[in-house]
Amino acid sequence: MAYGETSYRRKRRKTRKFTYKMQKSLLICYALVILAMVGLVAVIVKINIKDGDRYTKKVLSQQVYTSSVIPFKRGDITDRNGTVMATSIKEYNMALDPAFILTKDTDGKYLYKDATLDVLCGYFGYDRTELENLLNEKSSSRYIVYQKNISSDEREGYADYLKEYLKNNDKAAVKGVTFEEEYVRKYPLGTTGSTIVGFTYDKNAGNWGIEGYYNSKLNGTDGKEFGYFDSQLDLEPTVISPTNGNKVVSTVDINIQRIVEENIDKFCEQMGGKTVAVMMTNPQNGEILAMASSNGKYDPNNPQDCSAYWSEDDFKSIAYQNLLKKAVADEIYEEGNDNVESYYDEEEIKSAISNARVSCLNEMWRNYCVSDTYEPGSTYKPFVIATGLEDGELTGDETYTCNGSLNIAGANIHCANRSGHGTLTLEQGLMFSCNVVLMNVAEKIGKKTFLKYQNDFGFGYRTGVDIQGEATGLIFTEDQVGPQELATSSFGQGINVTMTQMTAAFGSLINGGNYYEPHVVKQILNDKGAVVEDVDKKLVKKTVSESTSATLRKYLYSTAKDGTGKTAAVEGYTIGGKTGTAQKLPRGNGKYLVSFLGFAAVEDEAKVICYVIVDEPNTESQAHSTYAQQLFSDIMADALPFLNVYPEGDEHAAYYGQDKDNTDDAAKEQDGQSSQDTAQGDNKVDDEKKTDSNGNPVEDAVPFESEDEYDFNAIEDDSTGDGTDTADGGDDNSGEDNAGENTTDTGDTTG
Amino acid sequence: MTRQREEKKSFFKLNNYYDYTLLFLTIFLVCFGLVMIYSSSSYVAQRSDKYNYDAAFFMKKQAKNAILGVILMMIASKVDYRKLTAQVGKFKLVYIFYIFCVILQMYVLKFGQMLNGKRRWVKFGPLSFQPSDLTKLAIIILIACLVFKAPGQMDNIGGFLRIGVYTGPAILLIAIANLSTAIVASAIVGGMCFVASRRKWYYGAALIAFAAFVGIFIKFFSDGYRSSRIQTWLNIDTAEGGYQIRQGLYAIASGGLTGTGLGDSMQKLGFIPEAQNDMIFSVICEELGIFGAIVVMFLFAMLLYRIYIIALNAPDLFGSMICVGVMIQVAVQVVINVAVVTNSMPSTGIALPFISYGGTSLIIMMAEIGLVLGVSNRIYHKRTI
Repeated sequence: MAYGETSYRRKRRKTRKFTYKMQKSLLICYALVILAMVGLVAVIVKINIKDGDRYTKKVLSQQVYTSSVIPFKRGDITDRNGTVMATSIKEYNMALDPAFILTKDTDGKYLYKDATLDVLCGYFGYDRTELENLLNEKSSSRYIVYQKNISSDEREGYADYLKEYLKNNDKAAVKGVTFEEEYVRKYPLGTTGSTIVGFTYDKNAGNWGIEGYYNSKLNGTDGKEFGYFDSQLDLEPTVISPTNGNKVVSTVDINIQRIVEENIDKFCEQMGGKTVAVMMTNPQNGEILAMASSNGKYDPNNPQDCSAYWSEDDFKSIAYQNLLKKAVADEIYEEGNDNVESYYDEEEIKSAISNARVSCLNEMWRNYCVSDTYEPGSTYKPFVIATGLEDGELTGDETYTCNGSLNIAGANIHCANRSGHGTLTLEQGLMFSCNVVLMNVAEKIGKKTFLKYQNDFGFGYRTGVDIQGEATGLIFTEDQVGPQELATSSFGQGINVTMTQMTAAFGSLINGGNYYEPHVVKQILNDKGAVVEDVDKKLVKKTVSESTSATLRKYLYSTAKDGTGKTAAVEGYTIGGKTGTAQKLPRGNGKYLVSFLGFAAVEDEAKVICYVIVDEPNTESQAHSTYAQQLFSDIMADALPFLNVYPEGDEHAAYYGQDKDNTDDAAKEQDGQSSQDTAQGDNKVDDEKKTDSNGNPVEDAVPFESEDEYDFNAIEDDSTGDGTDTADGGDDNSGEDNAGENTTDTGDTTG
Repeated sequence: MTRQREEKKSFFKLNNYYDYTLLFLTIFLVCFGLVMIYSSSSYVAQRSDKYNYDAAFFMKKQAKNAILGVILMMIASKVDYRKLTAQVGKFKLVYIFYIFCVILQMYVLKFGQMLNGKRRWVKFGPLSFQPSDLTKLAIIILIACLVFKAPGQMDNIGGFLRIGVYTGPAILLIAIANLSTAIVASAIVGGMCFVASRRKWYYGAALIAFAAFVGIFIKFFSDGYRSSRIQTWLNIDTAEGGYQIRQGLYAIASGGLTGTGLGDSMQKLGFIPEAQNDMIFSVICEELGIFGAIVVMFLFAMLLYRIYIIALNAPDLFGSMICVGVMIQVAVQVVINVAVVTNSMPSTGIALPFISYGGTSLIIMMAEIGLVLGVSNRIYHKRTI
């Protein structure tokens, strides 16, 4: 090794080494570097201390989370058997990002355009050039909703198509096409029950009906999807799921509703009228089973379409009429010049047309049974008799003599039967709808009690029915009621009611006196199906006693069986009910609102109330409640089996089942009396005697018939002028009461 | 000649030193760099079709380069660095390498690939790289060789001029396309001369002259492009051009003591442009906090210390000067990079060694460490095992 040692030493001597001075210099360099590093760490610490909070806030504030809204599903509306009346279906809107689709590479070649167009046109069948032009036109835009209402199936089909396409074209990339999910409200039943259900606009804003009244319950809360980034920098979606809306189960039975609507349609084909409306309820709990009217039929899927009722020309003519009226009011109207254009400029005419359109639409959307008021006529009589019986003024054993009219405070007020009914018991008074009997009864009761019970029966107040747009109706206040007003009120003229008020009050009359709040919603369930709210029967008050109720049931049964309501009979059922033939304002114009308010299954307990109204039937002689009775009979015959009320054949008179024979005898007795009376009437004035095709007597409250009886007209004008207008024009669209409009023609002179 | 035979025999013998600490530190920093590159680039990469929506796009590319770098490092550490001074034909290998680099610099200015308006890249088949990184290495070896040949010359003006004449063209060529790299190259030249020279006052004077020059430059040419950088530096919160640095500062400041946690940087989500490049230190500060920053700095200090130790113990001046050059390059790049990120100096694009994304820089840097390891491997050191 010695050789190696020496050789190494020799070599090392020659080798220039890193000198001590150089080492020192390098140490200085290294020290400087370490110093700089320490300094930089100090700077980092300083930044954190001095600007830490400020800059951290900046960092947070400039974060843009990718977030998107997950729409909630508005709850379904079903009928009582689960038939879907309204539902929300998930659909997609397709949005394009033209700027992205038209991305070019560095050579100016489109990267995605061809593939994207291929797929879109290939699957959806769009016109390629058209789409291409649109993209080029909006090439800088980032968001265009190209197609709406793409179903889930189509959406999936597109995804499959895209996958297939990409499989066949490796290099192709489809970009800039996004699908946004949304719910679209659908009404599978179309026009059926449309005024009960209502409709929605702006996706989830309910209007009219259940949609309007239960809007907040049907709606849920939108969910959200945030993007945040996990340690793998994957987009970790934080999903706040949407709270779907509640499902509303209606009390309406869609089978019944359909039967009602079909029968109304049939009636309208045969005769028709200004309005034909029917309402069916369950008197035992206030549930509304069906409500329909001939002028409230629209498709909630397309609520703006009112072509079934009005055309654009109609709007124009309505607008012109309104403008002419306005011209008169503005005192710019020139006699004989009906040219609207000469009074108002184009703008005003346009807005008038649009107003006319809106009011027509509201007319169509409103639920007649809830929102419209009218004079009920003789169907009001049972309430008056119940008042008397309940308050003790009547015993039921009274007899009255009808001579065709009664002088009240100096004015003769007629009975429908001008020749008079002769001597009548209280029950017969109701059976033959004798105005004179009722006027006597009312007089005996007195206005205080009369009005008290009117309140108790809920007239003049909202019933609280859960449908948007309920009207209050209109009744006299105590100081407005004179003897004549009291007299006319006794047969249902001079007060304004809604069908809902009538059925609710009538329900209490026949169910033992329990006034239940009418309602169309039975149950509210959450989207998982758990019960959120059970809408049980809600007893508002006791109106009459059980015995009064029983008496009334008996009277009404007689009325339907042997009185004026014979036409309403339904084969195999025991029906009770009351007819109504209300003279409309102005009295004596030959216009009538005929109605029948009846119930089925008199025997054990009343299962269903059906109230039929035919306003101004399309016929020469309107004053026949038989029109309404026939409709009632048809509807009940169809509907009762659906309500589990079956014809009972021989045992149908089970209500008086224990002593059937007695009942028959009693009925015969009544028959005899009534026919006797009728015969008397016949002898007196033939032309006043009205019979329908079946030969049944159809007298009703038609007190002011003859146009030459000016005194009565005058009285009537005065007495009914106190805020009793027919409801047809008097209601505004929101269902507010019509007091405001009617106060203008309030008269203060009474004969 | 027997010595050489002996060395050949003892090639794998234990009596030759090998600085495993340096090797470990280098590989650790490279791996840490890969982690940080993945962390800072994956969000942007996975959202861009430019990167095939691949979150690991940058990391994978850097990893490939790192493997190449490790191989080069190993080769460089095992091949005798002294062969660089060997004569090839008429010229020494060092000069040939240097001239090749200068030609490459000229080539890149004419035919290089345009990127962000600057020609910095050369492409040879599948290989593309920045010649400026290679030129820095060439300058280190050149100066080391010059000092080794005539250390006495470093003490007089002539020697300096010679170095200036030799390295000047390369630095100027670099400066045309990439001023930052030129600054680093100048720092290497200056630093190596400082270490080699015994006349330190030259450097004091040069420093004063430089400061005066900068002062005058700012004063009289303050509307130019580079002075606007200075304006930006002074008003970083509001300046228009300060976006990148500002976002980096937000990142640093929101890190706190221990940071938001690895992978949890928010600023890398598209706010810091190209966070995996020069700004990667800000992401480190945000995710790992002041603590992480200190650890990284400490690792660099350790690395520099190992190079320093090797320089002291190198078997010859040539090896020492190579170590000095590499050490100065790493130190200058680390200090400038961190200074820029913390807005301690006007912004300039210098990569953080071993950590920043960038293939050429990483490979050459690892090759340089390989050279230093090679120097360490020549240290005669009888081990006592």
